[in-house]
Amino acid sequence: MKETIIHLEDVSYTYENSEEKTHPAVHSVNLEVRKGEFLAVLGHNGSGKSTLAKLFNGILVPTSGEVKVEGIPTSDEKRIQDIRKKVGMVFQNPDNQIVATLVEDDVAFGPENLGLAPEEIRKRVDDALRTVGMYDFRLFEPHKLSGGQKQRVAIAGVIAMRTDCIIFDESTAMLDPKGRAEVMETAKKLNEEGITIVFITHFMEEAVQADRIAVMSDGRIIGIDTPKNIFNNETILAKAGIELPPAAKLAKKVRESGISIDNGVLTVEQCAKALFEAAKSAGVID
Amino acid sequence: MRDITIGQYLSGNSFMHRMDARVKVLLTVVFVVSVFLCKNFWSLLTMVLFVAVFILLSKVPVMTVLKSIKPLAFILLFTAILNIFYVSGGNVLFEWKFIKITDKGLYTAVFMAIRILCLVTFSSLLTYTTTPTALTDAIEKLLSPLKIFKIQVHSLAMMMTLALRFIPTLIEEIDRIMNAQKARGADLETGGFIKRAKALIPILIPLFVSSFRRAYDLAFAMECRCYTGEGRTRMKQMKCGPRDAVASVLAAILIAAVILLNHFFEKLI
Amino acid sequence: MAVLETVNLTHLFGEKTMNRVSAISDVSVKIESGEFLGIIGHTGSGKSTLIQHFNGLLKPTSGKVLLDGKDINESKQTALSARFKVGLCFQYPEYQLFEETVYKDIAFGPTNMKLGKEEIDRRVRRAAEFVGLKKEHLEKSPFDLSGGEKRRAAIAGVMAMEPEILVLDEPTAGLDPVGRETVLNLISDYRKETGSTVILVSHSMDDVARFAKKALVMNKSKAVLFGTVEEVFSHGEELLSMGLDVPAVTRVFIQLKKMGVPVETGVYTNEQGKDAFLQLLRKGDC
Repeated sequence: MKETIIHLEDVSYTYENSEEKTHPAVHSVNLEVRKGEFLAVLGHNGSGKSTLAKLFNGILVPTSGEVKVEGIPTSDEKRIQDIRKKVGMVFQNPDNQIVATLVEDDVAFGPENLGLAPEEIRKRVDDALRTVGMYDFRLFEPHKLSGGQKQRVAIAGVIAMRTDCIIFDESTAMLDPKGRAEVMETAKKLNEEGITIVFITHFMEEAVQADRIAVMSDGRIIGIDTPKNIFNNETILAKAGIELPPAAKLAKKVRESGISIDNGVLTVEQCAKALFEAAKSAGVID
Repeated sequence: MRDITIGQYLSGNSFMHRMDARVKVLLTVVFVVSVFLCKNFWSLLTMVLFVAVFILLSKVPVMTVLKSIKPLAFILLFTAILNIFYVSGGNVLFEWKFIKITDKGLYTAVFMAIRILCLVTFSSLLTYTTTPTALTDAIEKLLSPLKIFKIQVHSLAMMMTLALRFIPTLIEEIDRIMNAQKARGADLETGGFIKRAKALIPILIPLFVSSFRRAYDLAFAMECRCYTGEGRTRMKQMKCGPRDAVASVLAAILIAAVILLNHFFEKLI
Repeated sequence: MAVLETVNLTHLFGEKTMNRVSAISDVSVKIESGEFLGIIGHTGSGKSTLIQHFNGLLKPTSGKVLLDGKDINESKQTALSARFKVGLCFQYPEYQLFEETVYKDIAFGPTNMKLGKEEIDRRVRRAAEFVGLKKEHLEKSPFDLSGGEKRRAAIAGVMAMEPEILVLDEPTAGLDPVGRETVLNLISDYRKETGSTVILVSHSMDDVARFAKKALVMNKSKAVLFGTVEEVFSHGEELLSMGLDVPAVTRVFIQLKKMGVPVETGVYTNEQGKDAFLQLLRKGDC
């Protein structure tokens, strides 16, 4: 069993000026984010996944229950900066999270707030920009970049703070397919380097690439498991109104016509491979 | 809307680019004061020379510099005309009914126009060669003595940075909203004052709504990156070097020249 | 006769650095009345520039836009009437909402057309019905609606002008799967019921494949492919090389072909994919 980085214990959150007081945005959520994992949070708009994201690093403090980041409760106002140093966040709208007029100045913003020495900041900024592949753009003005590039700058801004965990709060929702792929690849790369990733999304194709998926519906987590188990659990899919990823749909259709295809097929690569095997065993190819 | 070049930065590595931003800001202040000290064409000529030297030192193409003057063409023309007609004294060159043009009026008009040109050119050189971040940092440093009067210098500087950062974003947004309303048949071009003011509502309201949303998002994002406004360090340290010494000497010579020339030659104004 | 036609349409941009609109070059397309056309292309391909010529918002550098056979830029009147004949719904249209009530906002377009009060009322109610907004929604402030409802209210605002041609730029951007389905279905129903021409601009080839009959692919300022959806999607690999988001099924088949399986890559729906694969297996049987 791996160590836990973020621990949610019976967490509920109700917005203060919400008309439906009895209807919390997040309801009795228990969750352990494990160190080094890639966790996807899947759910529809209004399922509470964005509220959940804001609870992870203390932007919101639970109405009841407790969120602990490496043992520090987010309700401890004195230690909130310690939490933010451990858990960073990339938001949905790329335009609204860039503060400076030059890419490298923006990446430096976080480390500057930490009060680091200038040489150390410089080093971290250059490292971070290289990691996300934006080093050549360091002297660009942010508004001249594409959506995917802006999000990568935002990611660099977080990793320059050397956080252990990054929350992606629907960071791909406003991007085109190319931008989405850029952000997903960057997230996967960071995960390989040991950073814990919590990826909040409503794109199935992205969720299937995670180690685990937590499915949210109506403020609750109704299932948390490997992508394979989640997408083979009809009850969870129906309850959350989630469809299979497109490649899995094709695999299912083929399977239903009596051809044996593994039910773990979720991505395009897996599907092509499975069909290839099926064709081979049918003797169509050698 | 999109032709606005004020505050635009052109990346480069020239003498002026590498100068300390604080010195550049101070230099601009000295320059502005000197321009107003000028009393005759000789001292004004020194100013023009000074500007020319700094255009060379900044390696900004002359065409680009001239472009920054374009939006001010109207103001230039207006002040010139005003001076031609309203300055009296000197020899009359032309008279027709109530219009009287004197040589003094003409000189003053030209003098004023050159003054404005000098001011605009030099301050745009400042923004062309200084990143907005460096500029606000410099202003923050220069104003830091005001802290003893409990003025939140840092917050002011931060607000300036954010404003500069969001200008292009908001211009794009205005463009987008205008197009969307035009596509719904909104008429933004014709009608009298009241009608036009009314036509702005469909643009201003969405703009406000989205600006508030952006501000809200931005505040969260800044908090997440540990911003408290206190205990900040800077990646880019400002250092005075030999270049700044050279520029300061030039500025000193400039002031001396202006005072001397004012003294030895006849005063125009 | 073509309802909308572009003849060698070219739009170039000067050195205005702030201008983020992409150029288009020599685009000639004919759009038939009542057609459902999908325009595909990634960000910066010129697709947004193209559609802004359809209603005269942008003026061509050279070439023509013909609406019902007449040049829309012939005079001020023709350009203005094109605004009403071609209803253009921009990306994230909810950001254009501004009135006190949803009703008034939907009525903004018809009011600008200087229609009678009763006619405006009829149009507003009809448009609201198309997008599934109820009576009680109409009296609410547009800012109190949910994200999906706001999007639909904004689309209704364009539909209420009852344009001959409805052009929608990425109407599903940023929505979750349920929201996407709702919007696409209501557009499809609207077309069936009114018989008007619909042009859908999208990154998602899946959406275009499912709803449109014809497709236009823009790449690097040019119209590179124009024809029926079947024709366009038979160029799967070409589309992929342009960096477009090809349907998952097509990608599976392209991969299979690369692995040496003798398949056609022109499939774009799951049903076609399944059939094509079963056919392949049958070939192996005999």
